[in-house]
Amino acid sequence: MLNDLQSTTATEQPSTPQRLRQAKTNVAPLPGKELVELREVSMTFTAPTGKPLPVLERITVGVAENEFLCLLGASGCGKSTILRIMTGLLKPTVGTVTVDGKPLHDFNPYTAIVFQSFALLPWLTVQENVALGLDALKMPRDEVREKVKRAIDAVGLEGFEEAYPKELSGGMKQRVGIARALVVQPKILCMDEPFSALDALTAENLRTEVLNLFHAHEGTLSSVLMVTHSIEEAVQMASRIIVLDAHPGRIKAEFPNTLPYPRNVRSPEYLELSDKIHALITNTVLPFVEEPKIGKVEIIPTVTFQEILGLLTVLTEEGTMGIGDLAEAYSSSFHETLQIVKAAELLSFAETPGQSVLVTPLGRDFVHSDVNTQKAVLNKQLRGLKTFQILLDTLQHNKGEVAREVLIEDYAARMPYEDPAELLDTVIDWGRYAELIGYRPKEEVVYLDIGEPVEE
Amino acid sequence: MSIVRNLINLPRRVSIADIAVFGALSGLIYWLILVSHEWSAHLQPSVEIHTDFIYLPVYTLFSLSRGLAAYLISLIFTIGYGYVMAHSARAEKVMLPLLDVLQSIPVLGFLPALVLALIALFPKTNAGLELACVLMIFTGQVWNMTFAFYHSLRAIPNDLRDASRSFYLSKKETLLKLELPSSTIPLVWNSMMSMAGGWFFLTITEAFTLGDKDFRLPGIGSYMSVAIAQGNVPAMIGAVVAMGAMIIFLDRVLWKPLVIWSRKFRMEELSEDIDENSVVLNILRNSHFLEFVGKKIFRRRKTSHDEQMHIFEAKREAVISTAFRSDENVERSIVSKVIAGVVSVGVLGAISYGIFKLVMLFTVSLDSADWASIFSGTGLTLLRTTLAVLLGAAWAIPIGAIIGMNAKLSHRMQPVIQFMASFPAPMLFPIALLVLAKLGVSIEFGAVVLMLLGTQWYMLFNVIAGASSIPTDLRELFASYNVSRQMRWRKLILPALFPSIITGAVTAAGGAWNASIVAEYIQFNGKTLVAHGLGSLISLATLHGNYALLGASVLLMCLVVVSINKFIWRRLFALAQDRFALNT
Repeated sequence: MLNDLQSTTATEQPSTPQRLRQAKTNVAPLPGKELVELREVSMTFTAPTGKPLPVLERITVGVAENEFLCLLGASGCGKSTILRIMTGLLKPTVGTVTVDGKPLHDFNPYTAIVFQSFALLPWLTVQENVALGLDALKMPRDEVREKVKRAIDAVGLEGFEEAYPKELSGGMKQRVGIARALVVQPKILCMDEPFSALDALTAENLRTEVLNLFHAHEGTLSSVLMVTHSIEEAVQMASRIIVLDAHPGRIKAEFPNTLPYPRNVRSPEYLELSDKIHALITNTVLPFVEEPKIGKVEIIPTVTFQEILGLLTVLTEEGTMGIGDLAEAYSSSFHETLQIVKAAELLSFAETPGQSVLVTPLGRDFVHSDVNTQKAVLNKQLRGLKTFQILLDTLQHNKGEVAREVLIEDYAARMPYEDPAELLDTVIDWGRYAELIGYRPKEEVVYLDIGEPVEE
Repeated sequence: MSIVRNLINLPRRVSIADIAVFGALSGLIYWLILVSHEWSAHLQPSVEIHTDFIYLPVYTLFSLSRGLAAYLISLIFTIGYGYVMAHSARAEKVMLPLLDVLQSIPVLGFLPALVLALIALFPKTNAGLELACVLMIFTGQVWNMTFAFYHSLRAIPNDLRDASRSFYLSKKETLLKLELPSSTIPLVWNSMMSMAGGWFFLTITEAFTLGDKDFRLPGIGSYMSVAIAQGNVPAMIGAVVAMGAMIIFLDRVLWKPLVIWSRKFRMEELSEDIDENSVVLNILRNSHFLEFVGKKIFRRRKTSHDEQMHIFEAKREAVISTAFRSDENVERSIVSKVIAGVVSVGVLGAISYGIFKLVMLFTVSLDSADWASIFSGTGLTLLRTTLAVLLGAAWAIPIGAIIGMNAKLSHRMQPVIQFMASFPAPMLFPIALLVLAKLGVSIEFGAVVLMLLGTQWYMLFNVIAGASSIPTDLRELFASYNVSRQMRWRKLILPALFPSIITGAVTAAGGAWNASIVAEYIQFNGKTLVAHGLGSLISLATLHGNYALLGASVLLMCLVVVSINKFIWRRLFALAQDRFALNT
């Protein structure tokens, strides 16, 4: 893997990769009666630059009765967009949405949403927040009072009816969010990363309670659709897991999960499923060996060089680690950690055999050497990357100085799915560390650092 | 006793708060009668204004009622205009730049046209004249309120919008439960500023001459203008005191309670909760009578449970059927497109006809001498406004920085400066003129001092705010290295204050252009003081009813102000945000 990487730019030979995502995209037949179904749905937004930005590509997915469906994927895979299309908040560019077989044109009456940011109105009390949907439908007062009381009891908020959201902790706020959704008697509870804004213990607690609500079929509740980026969360809660690919969002794989509740996180079946999904996701996001290199530019993860250095230091001390463990050690998300690992691997400072990460000899030496040696080594590694070669070429043809704007356009033309400004900032960050290039923020100009020959 | 009380269903307890509320109510009713008499009175273009002190309270009351009426119109305009602008991307494209222009142009130049039109509309009563005055005050109040409302609508988090849609809130309910509450705090603060801005031209809008006609309305502004014309110093001081009393009254009775009440609409809790309270708000909160009235007004219409259930079911049915209704609006959208096309062609036609007529008017009635004086006047006024801003900055930056970096001092000074900023500067002109006359300063330069009187506070306000937000650790860093005072100003204070200085300068410059109309032309003690400039040209053209000259001067002033905003301030703003913002 190491050698392969270093030679990427020199040998642009076409290779025939066996990529997992091409293996199987079919969705298995759904259990039970379909409640909502997306058929061949594509979604295209317009980027700030005016270019069309495909977010979802030909998604066919449904939520059936009595199921707990998890949409799992890294950021940018369009999982929240799917949720918004299912609830009718967004209309797909192409494709149909049907509810009980009937085409949907406005907000889906079967669904209610629980938001990541809670989305509570700060000037209403808990009670008034929960009653929001019922009041809007002009339900009689006494009826509302009864329903709201029931929902508040169901999520364990008794005694907080008159409190304002700002007096509550995050976990309590999300309970209000869940009660507000339950009270309108949805068939499908749609949860958009409901636990990511909470601390680990609170989230764990609330996960159990949501499962209890699902199993008790609270009110008319039949199914749950949950969007998440946490594999653990999906395996622990879902009866079916759909893994999504990013840029644009596509369905990559589907896993039924028939393990009995409450799930034992140490059982071999649980671990097997969790490992399978881990392997699948790590392979999609760490596909450097398989990626075709024909005229293509590698993807530079937008992390700072300090983060890469931090990773290398941890790996040098701890030896081989799983990405999940790393994420925990960093106390950052799985996705962010993965980005750092990808960056380290790109520079040949780390390797990823299977699902673990370990530091390469080059990486180990790098950590132990002095700053000047570090700069020299990094300088060499960066020159091996296509992204940097493009930059160096442009600089040399422009007397060693180019405006930031020009470089951004340059990158935008070559890498449509990347945020070119963010990419350039990353390139500048790494390049500055290696004393390969410099940047003058006042003039917004990138320049070649000393020692780099300039063509006249 | 208790049976009787139950029968008429009166609140059982009567507190001191109730007595206070009743007192205020009966006073208010008397005021309303007085004001409505004034509005329906026969049209008397030049009503006699008495300079006896005894008339001052009633005059103050009339002016206050005009200010409040204008504020009410401002509020309605703000909510309507801001709402449409925030919800229709197409409307926004036209309405946002229009608002930007409107807020930076001297509206006073449009007063003559407005007065003539409204008097034609109400030929018999005072209503036309009153309305013209109220509308002029309105134009001094409304723009920043509209901007604030629009910005807070745009700043509502997407999740909250999605939530209100997904829980079936109608447009009206979204406005009442989400949009108005989340814009309450900025609206209250901007209302305070607006109310102060509205008084600025009171001396003119309540008493002004157009050609051979003299229009006057009883009020504190006209009282002052008569006092100035007579050179009656005690009356001038009386008017200043009455104005000050009115500002303090409004602050205590209206703004302070509103500011404290609006705290409940904060999106997040702040770490330190300033422990303040308002007597008036406490009275309102404690009054059983108000609670009782509130319940009577806001309770739901009495309907049987079955009826209510019926309404609920129908509503739910409607929600479900809309969810599955297919789009059949294609035809209607074509019709609406045609209507929109016809309307926009009509509007464009009317505008181009107006421009054509105006150009005709200019070519017929203005000779080269007129144009020469317009352009030289523009240059002179530009020079004066620049000087006024620079002079203001020269004292406000050092003093403001010292006050701002001293928490105790800035807390103590804040109400004083707020009062000074709310006080309409033209009411202080006569006193300033007396001093200037003593010093032998001519009006050509004196006009700069008069402009300064109105605009320096903006700079001071902003600099204090900026200085108080310089992080303590940066200040401690400079202290710990024993840096010289000069170095400290150059490397820390001035760069940190740069964004605030720019904001202050923009507001001050805009204010100075507006003030030029009153500062360059003054009738004082039987004499007329004129400083050559665009402002005095506008005043003179109004006085002589020379509409072509008036139109050309006003247009040129609009053009200059808008281009200065676009080409100078915008860029400095961008620079301030890019380079000198403290939150990295």
